Amino acid sequence: MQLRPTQSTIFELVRRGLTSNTGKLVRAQEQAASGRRILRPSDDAAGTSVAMSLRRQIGNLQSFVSATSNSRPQVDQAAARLEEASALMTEARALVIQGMNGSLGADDREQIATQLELVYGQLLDVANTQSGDRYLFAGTNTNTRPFEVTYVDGEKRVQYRGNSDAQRVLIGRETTLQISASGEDVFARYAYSETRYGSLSGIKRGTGGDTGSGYDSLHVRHDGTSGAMGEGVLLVNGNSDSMLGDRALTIDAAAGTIQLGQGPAAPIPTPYPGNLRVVDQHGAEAHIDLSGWTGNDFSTTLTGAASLSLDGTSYTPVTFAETSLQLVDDTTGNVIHVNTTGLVRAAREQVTFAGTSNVFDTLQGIVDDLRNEQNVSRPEMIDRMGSRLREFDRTQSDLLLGLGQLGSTSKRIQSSEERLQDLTVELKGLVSNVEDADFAVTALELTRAEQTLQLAQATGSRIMQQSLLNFLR
Amino acid sequence: MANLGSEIGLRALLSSRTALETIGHNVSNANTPGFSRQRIDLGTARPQNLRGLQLGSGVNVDSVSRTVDELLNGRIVKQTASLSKLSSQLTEMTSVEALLNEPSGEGLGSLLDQMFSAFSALSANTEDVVYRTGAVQSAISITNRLHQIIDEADQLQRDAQSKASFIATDINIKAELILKLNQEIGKVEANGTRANDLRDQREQAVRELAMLVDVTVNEDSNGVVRVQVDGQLLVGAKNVHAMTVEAGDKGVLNLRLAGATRNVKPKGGEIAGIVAFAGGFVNDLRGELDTYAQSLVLEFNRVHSTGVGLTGGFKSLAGDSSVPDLDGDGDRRDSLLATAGLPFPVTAGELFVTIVDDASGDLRQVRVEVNPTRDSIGTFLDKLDAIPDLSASLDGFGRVSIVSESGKTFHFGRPLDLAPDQDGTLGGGRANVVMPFDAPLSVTPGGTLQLQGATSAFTVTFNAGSFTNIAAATAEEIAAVINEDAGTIANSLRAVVVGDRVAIQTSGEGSGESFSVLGGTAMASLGLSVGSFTGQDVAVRVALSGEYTGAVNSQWTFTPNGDGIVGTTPGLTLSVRDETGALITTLEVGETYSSGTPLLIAEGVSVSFTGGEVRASEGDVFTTNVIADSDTSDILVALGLNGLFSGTDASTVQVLGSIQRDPARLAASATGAVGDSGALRDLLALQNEDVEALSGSFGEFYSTLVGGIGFQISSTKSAAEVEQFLVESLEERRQSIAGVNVDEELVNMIAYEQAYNAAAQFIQVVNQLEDELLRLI
Repeated sequence: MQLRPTQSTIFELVRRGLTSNTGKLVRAQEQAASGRRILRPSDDAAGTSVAMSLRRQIGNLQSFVSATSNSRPQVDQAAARLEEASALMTEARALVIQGMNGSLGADDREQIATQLELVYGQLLDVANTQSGDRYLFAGTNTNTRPFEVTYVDGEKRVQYRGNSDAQRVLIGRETTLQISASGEDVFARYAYSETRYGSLSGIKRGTGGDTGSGYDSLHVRHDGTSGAMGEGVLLVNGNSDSMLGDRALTIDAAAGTIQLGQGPAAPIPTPYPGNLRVVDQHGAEAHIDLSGWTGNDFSTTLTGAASLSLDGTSYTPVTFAETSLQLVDDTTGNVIHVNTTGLVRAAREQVTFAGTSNVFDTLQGIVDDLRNEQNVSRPEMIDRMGSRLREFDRTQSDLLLGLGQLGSTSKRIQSSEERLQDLTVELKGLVSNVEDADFAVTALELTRAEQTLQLAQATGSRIMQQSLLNFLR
Repeated sequence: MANLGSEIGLRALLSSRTALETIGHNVSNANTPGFSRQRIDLGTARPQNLRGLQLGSGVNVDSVSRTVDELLNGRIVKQTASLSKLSSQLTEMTSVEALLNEPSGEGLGSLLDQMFSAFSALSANTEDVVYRTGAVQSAISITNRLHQIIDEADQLQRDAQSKASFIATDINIKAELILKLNQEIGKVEANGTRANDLRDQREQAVRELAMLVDVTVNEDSNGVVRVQVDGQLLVGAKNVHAMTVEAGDKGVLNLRLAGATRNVKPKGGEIAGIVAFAGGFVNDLRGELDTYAQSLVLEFNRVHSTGVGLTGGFKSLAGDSSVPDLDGDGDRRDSLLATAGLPFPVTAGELFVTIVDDASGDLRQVRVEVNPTRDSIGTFLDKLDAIPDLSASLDGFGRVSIVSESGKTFHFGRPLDLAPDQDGTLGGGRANVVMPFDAPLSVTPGGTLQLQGATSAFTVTFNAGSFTNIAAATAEEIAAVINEDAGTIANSLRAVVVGDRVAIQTSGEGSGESFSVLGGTAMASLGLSVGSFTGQDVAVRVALSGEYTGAVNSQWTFTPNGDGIVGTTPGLTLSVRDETGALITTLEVGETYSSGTPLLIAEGVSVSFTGGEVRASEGDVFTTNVIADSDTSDILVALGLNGLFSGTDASTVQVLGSIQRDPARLAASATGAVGDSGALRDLLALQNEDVEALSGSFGEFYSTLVGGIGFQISSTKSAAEVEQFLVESLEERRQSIAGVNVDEELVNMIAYEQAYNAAAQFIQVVNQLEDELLRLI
């Protein structure tokens, strides 16, 4: 069928052409003005989905960034504080070495002890560092002051009240980052290796497994000396004997000397004393009453009875044959097994549960050693301090480990932040690719729409004016 | 002949004049909508038989008719209806697009991202109240945004209703007009005349009506049309069945014609667009958002309910919603969990309740089994209530209320019990013997167990009445019988439950404590044999450390393989088994073991022992729970306990009031330690986790939703464009048939003008002929 154009068809066509071309022009202008290709989801549903999914990925990254950037101040603060602690420990170590110098007098040692006490206080301050309301070295028990000074058995001890967990944040779908160092790991790591005894009494480690932490005192008590006596020689048997086990007592009348075990042969003064102190090769003592001595040679075997106690109250007698005698301290829960075969002398022996004491207790022990309140001999004191120094060095390496871990966390935060920022920029670029208008394309479209509209207007105005009336005169 | 001539001339004059008048009518209606051009049908007048000849008697106007294609008009009516449905739908839909405000990055999607970001920031600073407030606020922004969208969707639906009412009024006016035109056309055409202009008007009215609602039009032989909507009569022969709009549920709009018994569901026309928009599009959107909100509540609460806030456990906790009384018998406790009408489904699983002693910090973990098809609200509460130091009930509003004894708090977190052997059933200081079999045990009814305590010998009797089923006695029941015996009390003995086993032990610790099993008829069924048991001074202390990283809950059982002293006896080992009895690991605790050293068991959990004797011969054992998810049954979510959100759909979802008031209650910790962020990390995992109801993550679901809306709009838009094109081309065809071409009319006008002039000339000639004749006379 041949189309029969009518006036209203023509007008309608012109009108429609103008409307649609104006629409295109407006749309192009909108894109140019906003700089975006997708202004509403229906502009490009698929593109919208892509853009939103990209934005979601950015959001995801942002949440990781927000975790890392918010944890960084505390990680850095903790690391800085540990560095401070490390410096303090180096200073303390120098002081300890100085204190171990055998030629120091009591005053000098007291001075060093006072200085060490200062370091102790500062270290405790570091270990209890707070960031806002949170203790940095308390594991996840961040509202609890982690290192608390308490007194156990009258001895000053620091106890850890935090836990061994670490604070962690998510920095990837499956990746967590540890942002705290547990105070236990840094200042009070428990890594029991062996039980060590001082060398005073000749006590040795037994074969049984021990349980304990820090330091304890083993009381080796002298319970009395006995022996077959004669030639008018008697035992004083006061409280001051310290000789344990069997020891020969030899009086050489010709030389006028008395000798205990392999100890020095001491000259017997005249008149014969009623209470002569004889010392054996271990420094153990026996007291002999020579007031009734006949002046003849005499030799016998003296036997010193002993009992042991870990808590200082309940004593267990020994036979000098036990290879693994169990001793228990009910207050501290410490359990030790000792070998008594080598016991030679009564003493208060230091027990070191190696690998279990925290830096504070070690320092405190050194301070106590320096003050020598137990009045031990100088070599003994140095021996004790040497043992403590080993513990001290161990705790220092723990601290350095913690410091290294925090340092690497800080680095990791930094690198993951950078990586996440790079990714974010990349993703933003992709969003822009999908969502934003390409200005060249938009400009071209704008021009094209403009030209088409002008063409439509021009042709429309021409065609509308055509009518037969123009020619009917 | 003369008469005939003038007659012919007159007819010619009249015809041309009529034609010119019709042309005038056409030209003047060139722009009248719906006007069909008219033309006159000319015919030769009846010939006359004169003089044996049949002579033509001129021209006659037979009729004035419209040029119209009825079939085409019918199609236009149909397509107009489809087009106007699409375009009205489109107009409404774009307002939804504006409402979602995407993909500008300021809509719900970015709010969700912001919330996760705030949670993430909090996970690095769990103790900080400012971060907490920020996290809670970010959650509130999401619920606010959801409310806002729902409010606006509500408004859109209300607007749609009033629009539909206006359209219905229009429809009724048009229907009345058609009825009136029907009657007029009937009157005019009764005498055989075609009522051209009235028909045009009626057709126009029908077309306008079709824009509002799609109609079927049938014309009867009398020229009267009947108009039907969805098979029901709108305009009948005599009257109009007016349309009314009525709002149903969820934005559904019901249309009804007066006198009809069912609703009409037009497929086209503006009103169909509005109905589809309000009851379909907006409703679907609301449905999707409801699903979204529901999943938000479910998934976030699942994690949050098992978390612990900054201030630690609860002293009392109430559900945020009431338990419904579905059967209406006034007892809310009697419905099974599965059918109690709880907002979220309960599945068969387990719930771990942790009770913390405020002073010592000691934990006790209790496992509560939940079976929704066997447990009612009441039996579940009874199970909680049976836990020492805890009481559970329904409060006056029908909400679950759990209260702990003073000095205790409780939570549903998943801490590792660091001191799992509180009763000392593995090398503890007490004299102790553990029955070697896992309950349930078949205890001899009326069987006895003779024991010798510190002060006396006595006999415990196991009567069937003390058991639900003595042939399958539980560890708790056996322990209760022993504990209630007067002899047990008098001798300071006690029975404790270790996993599924029962231990008999002294209350005091140390080597001075002892008791004996003397005999009895139930001895064999309990797995005991005659023997005496002594406590020890050096007790084994068990400590766990680490964080359980396993994916499933488990109960680990520790048993020594032989008797010996930890750290001393050569070759002493301990076996760790899971609840199925499968061996997890064997720990070397003999001479090579340094006391107190943590040994890794599995999944991040380590154990350490101190020196002391363990005795396999006395059944030494202890158990501990390792928890990955402390509520696998979702009972906490269903009862609204310790949630983050409350509500069940997009319009009711809220951040719990108590958390809004006190952000410290936001549960960040999974273990109860304030620096732990386990619960937050689990919440953050939701950012990428697929949620079952959403078949994707929260973000994916939302962008699918937005993308889907965009797609619907753009496809509606292109459908409307196609329809528009179709209607325009149909309209063009109608114009080409029925439209007025002024040029054409002008040509016709000149033709008829000339014919008129010729006819006048003819009359003049005839007149002259007559005059000539008369002059002859």
